Amino acid sequence: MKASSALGIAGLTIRSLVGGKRIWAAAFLVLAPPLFAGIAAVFGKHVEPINLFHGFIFEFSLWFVVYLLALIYGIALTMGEIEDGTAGYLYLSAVPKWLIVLIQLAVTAVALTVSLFVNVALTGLAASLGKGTIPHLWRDVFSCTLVGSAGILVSLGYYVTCGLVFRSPTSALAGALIPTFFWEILMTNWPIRFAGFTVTNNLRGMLLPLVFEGKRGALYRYVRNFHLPDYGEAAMYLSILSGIFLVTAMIAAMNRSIEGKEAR
Amino acid sequence: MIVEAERLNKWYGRVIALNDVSLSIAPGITGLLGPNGAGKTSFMRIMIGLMRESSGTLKVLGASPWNNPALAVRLGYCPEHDGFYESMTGREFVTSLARIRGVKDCAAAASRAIDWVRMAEAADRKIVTYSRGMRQRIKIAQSVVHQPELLVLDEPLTGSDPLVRQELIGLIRNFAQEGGSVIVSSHVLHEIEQLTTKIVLIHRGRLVAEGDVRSIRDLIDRHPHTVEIRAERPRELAAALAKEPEVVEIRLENGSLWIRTPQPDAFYSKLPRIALSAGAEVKAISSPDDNLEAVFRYLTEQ
Amino acid sequence: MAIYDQSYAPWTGTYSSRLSRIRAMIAMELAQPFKNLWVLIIVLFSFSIVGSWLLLLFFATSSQVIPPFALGNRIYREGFYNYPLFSMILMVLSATVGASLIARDVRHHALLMYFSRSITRADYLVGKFLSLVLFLMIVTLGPGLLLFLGQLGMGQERLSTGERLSDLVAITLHSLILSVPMSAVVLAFSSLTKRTYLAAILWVIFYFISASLSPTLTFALKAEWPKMLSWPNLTAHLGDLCYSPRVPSPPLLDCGAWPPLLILGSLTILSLALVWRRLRSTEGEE
Repeated sequence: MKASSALGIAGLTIRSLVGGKRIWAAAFLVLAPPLFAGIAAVFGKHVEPINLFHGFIFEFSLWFVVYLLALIYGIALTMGEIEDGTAGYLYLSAVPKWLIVLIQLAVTAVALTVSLFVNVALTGLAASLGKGTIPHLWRDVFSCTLVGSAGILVSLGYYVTCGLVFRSPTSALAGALIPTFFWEILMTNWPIRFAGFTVTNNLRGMLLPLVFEGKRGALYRYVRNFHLPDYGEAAMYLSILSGIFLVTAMIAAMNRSIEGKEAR
Repeated sequence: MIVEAERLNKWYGRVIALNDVSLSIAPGITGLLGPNGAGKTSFMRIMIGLMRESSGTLKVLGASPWNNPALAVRLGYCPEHDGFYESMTGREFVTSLARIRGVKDCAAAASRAIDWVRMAEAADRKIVTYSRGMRQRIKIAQSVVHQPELLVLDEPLTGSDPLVRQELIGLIRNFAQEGGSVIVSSHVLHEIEQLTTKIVLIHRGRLVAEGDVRSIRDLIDRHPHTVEIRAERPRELAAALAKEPEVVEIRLENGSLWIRTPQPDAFYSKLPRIALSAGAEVKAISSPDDNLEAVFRYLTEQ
Repeated sequence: MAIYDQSYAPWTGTYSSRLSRIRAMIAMELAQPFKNLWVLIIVLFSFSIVGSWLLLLFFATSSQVIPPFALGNRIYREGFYNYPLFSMILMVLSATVGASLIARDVRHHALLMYFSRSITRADYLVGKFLSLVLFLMIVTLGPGLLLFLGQLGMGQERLSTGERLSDLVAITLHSLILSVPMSAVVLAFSSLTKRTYLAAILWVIFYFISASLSPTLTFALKAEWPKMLSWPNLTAHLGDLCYSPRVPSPPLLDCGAWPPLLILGSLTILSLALVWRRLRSTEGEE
């Protein structure tokens, strides 16, 4: 009984992922970078495909696309249910609330990882339009997807937790946006030790040995931190973070009251 | 007893939704009556485990409903406000919810539930195209698809037209006749009267009365009534009414006679004879106290 | 049926002007954000940047040293308005406050309520737009004026009244440049969906695509024109041009005022046109 209920919840989650206007925003996020990369490759002068590809991955895919995809769906998973009035149905199922959140997170994380793969692959192909193939393209695509999936897991976990903890969409959004855009962006632009505790720099640290062969080239001049976490440190930090957010989300789900319009 | 509440309290910040509510609800159909904001929905949400009580205890079918999926599948809930996966058809909606409640043959169960609420023809249309009555019926279908032991219906008749109302009342009665228990809330007494004789009255978060609906009706009749009468020759009518023992107060205001009587039934039965003998043609009679709100006022002022 | 009470009479007195109706809408919308704790925190945060600058100015003045950031009007431009942290604050504020302006009304079917009164679609649009502009001006002009007063009292540069006044006008214009186009674009996103968070995210996506695409293309194409794709660059460049060049600093963009003005102006007009169109179509759906 529980397995079919769990599958039912997974089905509802997939349905909500592809339904509504969210899918258009997500599609835009996934397809815009390859589109711009393609335009730049075709019309740009002195364009090196590998620089274009890596530039887009570094500036777009690995933080911007990852965070915003996670934001769109992370908040929607929890706040959307409340706004639609469907949260009640979900929590009256045969599945405990913590498992509902886990299933929703897992399904969404897989879907977003696939979207990221599409984004990175298309960007690589678009960047090499008319200019020959990029060496080790598919190695880089899979490496970037792997690294990005870690970022997706962490950020999705955090945004889902915000949606569960805060009562109103405005508060959940503010709670989600503030650390992402203040902590992440500011800390990664300042040469201080705290920069090592940003998800962005840890993703960059994981990316460096996989895609850039450990060499801090032109792109890493944007990384104004003298100590970038290495692959092992970054993997551990991101694992710990995602674990913390996951557990917090599950606990928040267990304690979540659906208080309805009368409570507002 | 299917529901047992012991000193149940629920507050939202400084707003007290439920205040020291202790009651027991037996199997069968029970009406939960109260004006808007009385605490009916809060009580129901705690009953089905969507909300946690602030203090006190509540047991449904012998267990606490909070974080209890095993109990949740034995309950059916039809919320007051619409909440749908709008892009789904009615059939998809009911089937999906049957699946997550662990029903074995979801498609067949959904078809049965849809047939039971007489929505078979419209079941394959998207919910966004449904009328109010159809949405209400599909909500009830999802609440019974897993054959719950207890059905909790939050104001199912509100906003429905008379035809749909009668249909829904029939469905609820059928469910109870087939062995299920129902707790249905409303703020309209005569709707509940058509369903059950057992009611619980809640007002401003407090349990005001529980018992047979006939005794509540008696209360309406027993508590002092104000009656407004518009008549030709009101002074003559007033003089005639003043002699009657059922009349305790008469006021003439803006051309209307305002009568206060503790025995409205007796007063109404005598009024035509008195008016005839006074030669006063009665043009209109109304009473602002012939409603549940007046009963609540009376009960809470006791 | 006989009607007994003839005492009701419809209003035959004067009605308030359209301006007062718009003012009422603005007052209603301006009060809303301040009820949310997070919005208050972010607003305070924006004032705290200025507060820290004022503290620095105080210590610099006390030590009789003229710090470079206090020279000319650089403190307003580089110290506050063009500071990356402040851009972020403005973006987050406009997302949290502006995204719900129309989305909320569409979600709760409130448009019918508005238009059944003597409020035209134009009044509605102007009211919503101005309320967001005014809110953002509180966060841009307010701290800017504080900084101006701080400079007045603690700045060590000897400036004439004309130069001070030109700084004041520049601060006001810079605030408008930051607030007006942002309000229009956020309002446009708010009109596209009935979910507040989605409207906010759409605006964030727009902002970051513009901010991230610019350096990516600049790096990849080794050209200067992609810098004009960045929203922060456009507003910063246009804002810089408002100030008198007492202390020259290299321009952000390799162009005059017209290209960024055209870009931002077109975005503002297109956004408002989109909102207008959405109001008409949403009303029909209802």
